[in-house]
Amino acid sequence: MRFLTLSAAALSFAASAITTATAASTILRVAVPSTSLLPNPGASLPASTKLTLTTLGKDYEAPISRDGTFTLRNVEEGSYLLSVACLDYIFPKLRVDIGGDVELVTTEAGSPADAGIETKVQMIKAWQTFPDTEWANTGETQAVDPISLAPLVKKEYYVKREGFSPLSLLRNPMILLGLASLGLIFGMPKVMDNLDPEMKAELEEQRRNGMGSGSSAAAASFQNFDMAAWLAGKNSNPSAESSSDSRKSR
Amino acid sequence: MRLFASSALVLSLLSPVYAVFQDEAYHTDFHHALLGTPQEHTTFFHRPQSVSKASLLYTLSEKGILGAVNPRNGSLVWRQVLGDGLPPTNAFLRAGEDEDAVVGAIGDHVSSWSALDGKLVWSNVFGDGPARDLEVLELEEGKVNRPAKDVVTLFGTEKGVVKRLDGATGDVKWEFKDQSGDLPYQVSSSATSIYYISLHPALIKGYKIKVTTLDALTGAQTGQYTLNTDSDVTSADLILFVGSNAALPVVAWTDPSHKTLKVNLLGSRQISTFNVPSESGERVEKIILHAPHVINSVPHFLVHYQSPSSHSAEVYHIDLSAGTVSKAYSLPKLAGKGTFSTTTVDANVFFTRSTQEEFVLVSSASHGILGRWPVRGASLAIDAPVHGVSEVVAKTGSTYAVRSAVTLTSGEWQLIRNGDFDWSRPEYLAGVVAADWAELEEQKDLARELEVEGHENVLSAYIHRVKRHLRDLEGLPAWIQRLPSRLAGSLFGDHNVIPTDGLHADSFGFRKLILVATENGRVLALDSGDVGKIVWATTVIDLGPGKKWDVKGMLVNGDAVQIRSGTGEQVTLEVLTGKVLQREPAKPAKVESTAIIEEAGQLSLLSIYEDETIEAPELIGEGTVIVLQGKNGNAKGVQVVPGQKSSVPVWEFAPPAGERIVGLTSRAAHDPVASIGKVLGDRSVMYKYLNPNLLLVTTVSDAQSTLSFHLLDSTSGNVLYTASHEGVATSRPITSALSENWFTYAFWADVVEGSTSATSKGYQLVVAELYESSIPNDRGLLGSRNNYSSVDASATDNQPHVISQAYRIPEEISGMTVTQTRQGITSRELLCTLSSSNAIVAIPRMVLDPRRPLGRDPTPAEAEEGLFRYVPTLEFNPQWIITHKREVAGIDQVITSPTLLESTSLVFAYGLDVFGTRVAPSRQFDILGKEFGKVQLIGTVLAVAAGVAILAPMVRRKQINAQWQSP
Repeated sequence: MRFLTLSAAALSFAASAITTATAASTILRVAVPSTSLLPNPGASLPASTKLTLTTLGKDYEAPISRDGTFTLRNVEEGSYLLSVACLDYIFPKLRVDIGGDVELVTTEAGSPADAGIETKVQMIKAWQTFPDTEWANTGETQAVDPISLAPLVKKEYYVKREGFSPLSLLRNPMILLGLASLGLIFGMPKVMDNLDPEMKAELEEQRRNGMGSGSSAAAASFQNFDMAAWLAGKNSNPSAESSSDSRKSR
Repeated sequence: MRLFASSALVLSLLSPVYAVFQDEAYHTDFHHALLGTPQEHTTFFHRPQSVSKASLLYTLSEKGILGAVNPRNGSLVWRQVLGDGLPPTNAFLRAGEDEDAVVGAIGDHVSSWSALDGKLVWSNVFGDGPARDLEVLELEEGKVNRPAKDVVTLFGTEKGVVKRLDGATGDVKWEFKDQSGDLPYQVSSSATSIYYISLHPALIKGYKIKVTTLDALTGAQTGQYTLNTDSDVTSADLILFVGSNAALPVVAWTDPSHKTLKVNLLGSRQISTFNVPSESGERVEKIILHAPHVINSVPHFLVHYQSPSSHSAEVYHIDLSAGTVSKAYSLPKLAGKGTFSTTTVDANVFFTRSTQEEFVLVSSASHGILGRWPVRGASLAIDAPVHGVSEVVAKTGSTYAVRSAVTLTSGEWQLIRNGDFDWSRPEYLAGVVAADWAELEEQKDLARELEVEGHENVLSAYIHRVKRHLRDLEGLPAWIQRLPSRLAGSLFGDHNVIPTDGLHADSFGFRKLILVATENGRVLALDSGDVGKIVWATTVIDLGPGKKWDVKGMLVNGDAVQIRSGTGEQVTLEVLTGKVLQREPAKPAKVESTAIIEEAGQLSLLSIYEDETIEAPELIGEGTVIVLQGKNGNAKGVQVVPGQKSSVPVWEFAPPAGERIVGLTSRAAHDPVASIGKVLGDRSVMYKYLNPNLLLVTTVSDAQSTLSFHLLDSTSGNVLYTASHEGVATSRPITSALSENWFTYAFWADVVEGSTSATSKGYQLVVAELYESSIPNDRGLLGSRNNYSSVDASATDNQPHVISQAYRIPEEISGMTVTQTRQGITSRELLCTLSSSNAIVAIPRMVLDPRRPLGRDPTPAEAEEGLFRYVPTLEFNPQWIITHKREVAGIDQVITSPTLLESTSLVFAYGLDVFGTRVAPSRQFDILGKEFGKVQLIGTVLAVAAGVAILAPMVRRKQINAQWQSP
């Protein structure tokens, strides 16, 4: 595992660099990269977008800056949950650990005034975290200077009303059933006409036999449906009972 | 009822959650995005882009909120919270000329914000005490290639520290520390140097003004002089003005009796003295000095004298070469209050005078009136202007146009363009301290009539009814006249439009009045049916500056609303008009809180005094127990004594050692329960533990970071259930809600070393349900009883069976409420205020069912109940957010109210912003939605009719033919 360190807060002037050597203050930078979901984070994120860093008893807040970054200064040591609240996008949550491993870094001789001053820097580590995993269960570490935090999805606040469309009508099973039966009504006579007379006679016979009991019984059971019994979860077959009743009453 | 309940369940299953429809958003809800009352010294017009002529109106309000408002329509462009709860008088806001950023300072925090979109440019915190002043340096040196102008700030309460900050990064360029022990007062800058003004305490009393000149480049002290002002300046507020960013900045002061005005040009020791005009002998109570803040403007300034009944002004000119100040002209005395504002156009300086009657524009060079506009259509006639800012445009010829943003005594912010009212922002609503719903008439009228009929004998009731119907006939012609337009409206238009003529309720009960009391002593009525329009506003109490109205209780009782404050003072207003009906004077004992008690249909507001006694009216039932938080930190149940100011302790709940009570939650007054049990998938019933006297006590231990919830019976004080959590941030909001047979709470939970359960970090939401027994179809100990009392000895045995589940939630919840519907049949929603994302989320109760199967998929029986597999996280679906794209900030309290429709609940949220909407947690099952195509329905009926008309003769012919042709 590769830990990236962030050289902390060597303040801009040399005189105070010595004092910060003892009490290391940390600058945490988080940048929103340009992605296909959010091509221009600096301009398109609303001004109310803010970052919060929370742990037990401590919390920090940073508003978004013009260039689409968040900066927090003087963050104390601790293991923090980093979250971004935004009106338009959902951001992932990060675990950010600050401190713990303090190391001495000799400032590179970039500017003559700062050259050779040893500064204590605090280590910043960041991982993406998920709310249903244990805190100790970290994954791959993220680059930390700056931490890159891209939004996951755009927030969709509204539900579209389903308007009327003929296609949605066709998707309805009742309509489909109706259409099929309509087709049968108009189609059957044609089919029957094309059948040979013997077969036709046989079918007629069958229909005459089947008519009497089946359909009227089903209709009767439907009319005498016992709602209360059904709600109470009676297991007996209501259709059998009611059909026998109806027959008796005749 | 049972059938109805099950059909509601089916409906809620079909459409799982309520969500905001695109076409309803911004129509059924209302929102006032507020800033708080603007302050004179932190409000100005500024062009956010030097290339564009359009300017925005910026303010850092009394609430410590920095915001930009579009002067065209008064809409909020952006806002940022700078200082919450910090004294606003020590807040500063400046914008350099042609700069694209505004710089604000409040407390020890200085920040620069992009003027156009409100994003942070830089921010910096210093440990030198609170900011005392802030100026943007308009130095000649910085004109050529500096990207941003530097800022000079003064910090400290006892030892002044002047810092020059880099305008682009906020880093310190130099600092000057005043070691003399003089009181730091202000900084000022001219084109060449920086002046640090401090107050040197004189030997006996008063202050000497000390001016230290600093080098702008290095911060080194280049000069210092002291003015002998100790005879005049006995207190710091007698210093009227310290100019800045002027060719020659001035310091002006007066004497305690406001008789003379003394002016010193910074850099010289000379003091010019002028007499305050006092022709009528009336005492001048306030002197305000107005000067331009632009470095190359002409060096003129205006002095505004305000006396109790009139005001006047004088304009002074500074002679730059001679270094003298002279009076140029004076403006006539006018009755009433007035304000002046300074505007600079190029080098010219204009003064705009606004009174309750008119706006007058004068140039600083001469007293000729350039423009005069009578005020039209603005409420300036009622409320006097307090301060204002103006923008002047010179048109062709010698005509001018002026637009002024004026703050009124009421706290309202109005833009007046050439005397015409343009827009108004109700900034006083930013401090709502109490709110309640009031039913509108009509429905009450009918209810009253029906009641009359119900109580009379049959014959007279019948006559009464016939008479009522005859009376109703009077409205028939008008009703018929309106019919076509109503039909057309219902077919093609917005069918849910609520009639807004007159104050009458609509047939769905969506229209109610929301009565609010604001901290500046005003009471207002908002119309929930007409996008929160203000129906009336009454100033009830005239509070001194900086004081807040300490409202302890508010009760709408019939046609009147009672508001009681901490002093025991009570005001009664008429609900429909806002007329003050009655005032009760303050009482010697301090009111700690109030309670609303209903007895025989009569509501009364009881005062709970500091000494834990309660003043109860005669009619109150004996044995009424009221829970209060005692002075010793315990929760106490006390009985009231009818008609007396006393109380009888019944029980006391002491939190465990080291813990303190942070919250008491009880069920809402209107919390109907539709079904006493929950029908399971196998048709067995879990009986709910329904106790109207449930009380949820929240206790925390700051040392151990633990949180406990104790569920009490408020009549007996018995503890029914206790839950504890470790690793809880006790400083963050811990919120809870209690309804029906369930309660929820939310908090920050951290990792606890060595614990097996507390292994993750984040916000948690816990939901718990109470049942009479763990076994279905069993009523526990109460099963066979007809009567039950919670003060029986055996009552302690009857503990509810509690099941709970916890969820990890993405954000902090800072407030919780439950929706209310008329019968309680509709499933409830938990309304949670999300302070970090400025939203209110409605979490469906179904999602928060603690019986969700853990670690397995639901059985078919469970699926029938609507249960689905438990997952430990609960993400807030954006479609649950009832505030949708609106940013509703700073919400303290959410109240709900049922409507006449069972499906719908009204919601009103207040705090900083004001937001109102209506929600239907199980969707609108009792009203046709917009998606119902009435035109399509009629079209279909017509098509079917046409089909029948065509087919009927064909069928008839065929049947006749069949008769003839049959074998």
